Amino acid sequence: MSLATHIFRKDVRHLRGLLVAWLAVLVIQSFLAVFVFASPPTDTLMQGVINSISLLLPMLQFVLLLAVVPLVIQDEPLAGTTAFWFTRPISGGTLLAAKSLFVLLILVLLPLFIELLSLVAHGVIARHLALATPGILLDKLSAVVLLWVIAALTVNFARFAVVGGVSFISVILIAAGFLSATLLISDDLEGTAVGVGRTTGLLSAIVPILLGALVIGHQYLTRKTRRSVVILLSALFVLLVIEQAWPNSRPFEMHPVDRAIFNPDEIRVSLDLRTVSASDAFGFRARPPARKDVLSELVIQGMPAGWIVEPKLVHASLRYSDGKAAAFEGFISQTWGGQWNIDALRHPLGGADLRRPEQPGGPREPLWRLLRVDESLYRSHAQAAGTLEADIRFSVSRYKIVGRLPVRQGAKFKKQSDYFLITDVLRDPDGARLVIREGRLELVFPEIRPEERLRPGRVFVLLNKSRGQAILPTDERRVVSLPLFPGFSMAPDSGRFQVNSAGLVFVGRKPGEKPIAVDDQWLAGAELVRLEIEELGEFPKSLRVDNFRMKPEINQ
Amino acid sequence: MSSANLEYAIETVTLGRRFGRKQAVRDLTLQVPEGSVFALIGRNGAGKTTTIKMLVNIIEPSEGSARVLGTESRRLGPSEFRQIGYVSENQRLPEWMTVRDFLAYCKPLYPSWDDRFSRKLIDQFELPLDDKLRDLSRGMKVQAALVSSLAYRPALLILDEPFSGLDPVVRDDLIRGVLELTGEARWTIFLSSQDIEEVERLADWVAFLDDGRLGFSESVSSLQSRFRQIEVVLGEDGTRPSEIPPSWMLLETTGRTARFLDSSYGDETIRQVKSIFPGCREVTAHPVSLRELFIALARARRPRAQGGHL
Repeated sequence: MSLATHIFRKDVRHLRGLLVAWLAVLVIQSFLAVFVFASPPTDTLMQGVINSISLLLPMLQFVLLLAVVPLVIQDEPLAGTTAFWFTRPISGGTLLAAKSLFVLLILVLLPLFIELLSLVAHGVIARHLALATPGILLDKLSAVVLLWVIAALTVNFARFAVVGGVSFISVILIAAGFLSATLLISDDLEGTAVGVGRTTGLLSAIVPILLGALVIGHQYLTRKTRRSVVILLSALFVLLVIEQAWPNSRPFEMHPVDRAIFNPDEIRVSLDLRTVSASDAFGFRARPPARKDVLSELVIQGMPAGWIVEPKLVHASLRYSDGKAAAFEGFISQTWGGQWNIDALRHPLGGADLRRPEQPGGPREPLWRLLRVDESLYRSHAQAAGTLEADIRFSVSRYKIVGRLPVRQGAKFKKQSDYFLITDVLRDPDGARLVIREGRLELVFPEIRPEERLRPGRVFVLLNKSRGQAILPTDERRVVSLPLFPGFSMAPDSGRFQVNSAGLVFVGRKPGEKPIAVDDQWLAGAELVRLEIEELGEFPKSLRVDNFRMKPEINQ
Repeated sequence: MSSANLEYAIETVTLGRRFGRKQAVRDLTLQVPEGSVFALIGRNGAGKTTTIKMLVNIIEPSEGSARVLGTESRRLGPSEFRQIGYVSENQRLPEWMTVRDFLAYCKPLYPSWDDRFSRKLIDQFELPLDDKLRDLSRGMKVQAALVSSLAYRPALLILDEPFSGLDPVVRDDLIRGVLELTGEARWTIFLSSQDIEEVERLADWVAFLDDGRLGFSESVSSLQSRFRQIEVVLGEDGTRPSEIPPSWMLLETTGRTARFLDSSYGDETIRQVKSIFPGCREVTAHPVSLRELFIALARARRPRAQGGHL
């Protein structure tokens, strides 16, 4: 038996009480995951109880981590001058190996194993298990390494608690200060979407673990606590810089569209100059610099049926003959417009008569922001003709059917690791309510999934193909929406299996439209269709308008 | 270098340690002969514990260097610690363990662990094996720590204030235990203590540390022959001399009697007395105990004290 194993066995013996509690929490979690989440109770009260337990267990797990990590690390403290092991034939490397064995085996790999078993019970395929593993590992490691760093730099539990508390408050204050400073400088939050991008989220999980491991390794091998603290502070600074400077931290990053699938040259883009208008720019400060957002409808022609082409980023300039000019680069946000792109949805449904949900004010074509100009320029040049030049990046996507189910209780669709099933069919006077349950695996290293962007990433439609009729849900009420094992870290898509129970409300009768009679016969021939957005990439387009007016006469 | 070939178990050269503005130990150069029982004595805050912590690589010296069993103290590793026993009043033992668990935990760390010797020590100290360390008295904890540091028969045993706070019976047990050990094998014992009487029973070498500086470092026999309490019965002219030799310390004059401590007693002392106190009637020299010496030296170091050359 090696010395590291000898120390490991001693630690297990020391903390056996807490480890039994740790194991009990894991077992209860896996019991919920395997038996309860696979078939949630229909009883609302029980669902509430299960929700509460499911949320409490990860908290309990974290509290146990808060106790176990410092106790196991500080059984042989690295700081101070009174530790028993300092004068015994135990090297820092041996101790690091022993503690790593404990932390990795019991606090990381054991929960990972139990989570993977639960995923297997939910029908997750082997390839996805392999892809989910790094995400779960990152999540476990990020919590454990953070606590290990604090425990390695403090001499006892009291110091650990004080330093941990002070660090937590400091991080919040620094983050608040940083955000305030960002707001004061930029007056809005555009372009500061830290953690929005997938890469940044991943980076936010991996880099702290690596930097934490560096501090831990240094402390074990040298026991120079002050230098370890300096390394830690430097590491935090590096982390902040990396998160801010990482190029992929900007949202909506995409790859160029494959011309073999979609030819951007066939697309013509112009402005509907009749719709050009301006609105006050929103800012977070009480007195933001007065500015106007200049908006317009975009006319996109030459688009094949079923495709969705939407602008994302714009780099625009407006120049006047007197030398005045304005330039803008940013997200080309949508100001008005419906949630659904009916044409794009109808295409994969074989051109069915698709009823959209009732929307107050009715659908309207979206207005897109092209420019942000100073109020003074707007006042002096609103009706003057200038030259607008804009480089716009467009995203290309389309809806595709991923699953169909007959409308009856118990019907289940499964595709690889994901599934959805109808747990109940309830009749309404003008339609039907379908209670569904979805199981969905979120991966860190994905097979790219449809993401919720400007359009809903996944849509359920009630389709009666023989009658050529389809209905979008007016409402989707989430009943239960829980990951099997909620994570500790803030990293997105961290290898979680998400189970949602939801009620979809389909209404066939609407004022002003010819009603669809959703009766038993109609439902018997209907199916529940699930569509998902398929992202295909992006392409750039340039446009130039010579007589552009921010406030055209037609709008006066 | 193997410990068998060493002349000195510990050697320091201008060793020093600073904590912020405070110089805890300065310019400490000493040698601890192999096989000796070497006591480092000094008042509270004299720098004894800091010195020991530097010797066993718990803290890093700011200046100078130390070699322990032939190895630079900063490079002491597992192979050296298999030959070093260390017991300190400040050491944080794994108190959740029973004595039995504690010894069982220590045993695999040392290939030379001697079960028979360990059992003998346990019996000698009457240690309750099934009690947790946190439930033991301070004396028993020290004894348990001592068993865990002796059972592998280290070449060097370092004891930092081992007697502090112990009742006389436990203290006696501990000393007898250590004395027995030194009788069995030629171990080097380096201990720091303020309990001078116990040191006197144990030590054959003594070093005196005061305010981080080394006062002296020599064998007890040399000290005892060098230091004398001198008492002089003065004649009619009993005035206090304005100048005295540097080896005279703590000169006091009471009535017609003058007393002082001489740190280099010899034939010359009598001649010097007669020269400085002309007409003195009687000069007597008394051997001093280590305790008296310690107190005298400590007093002599006070700023207003007279003399003080060691």
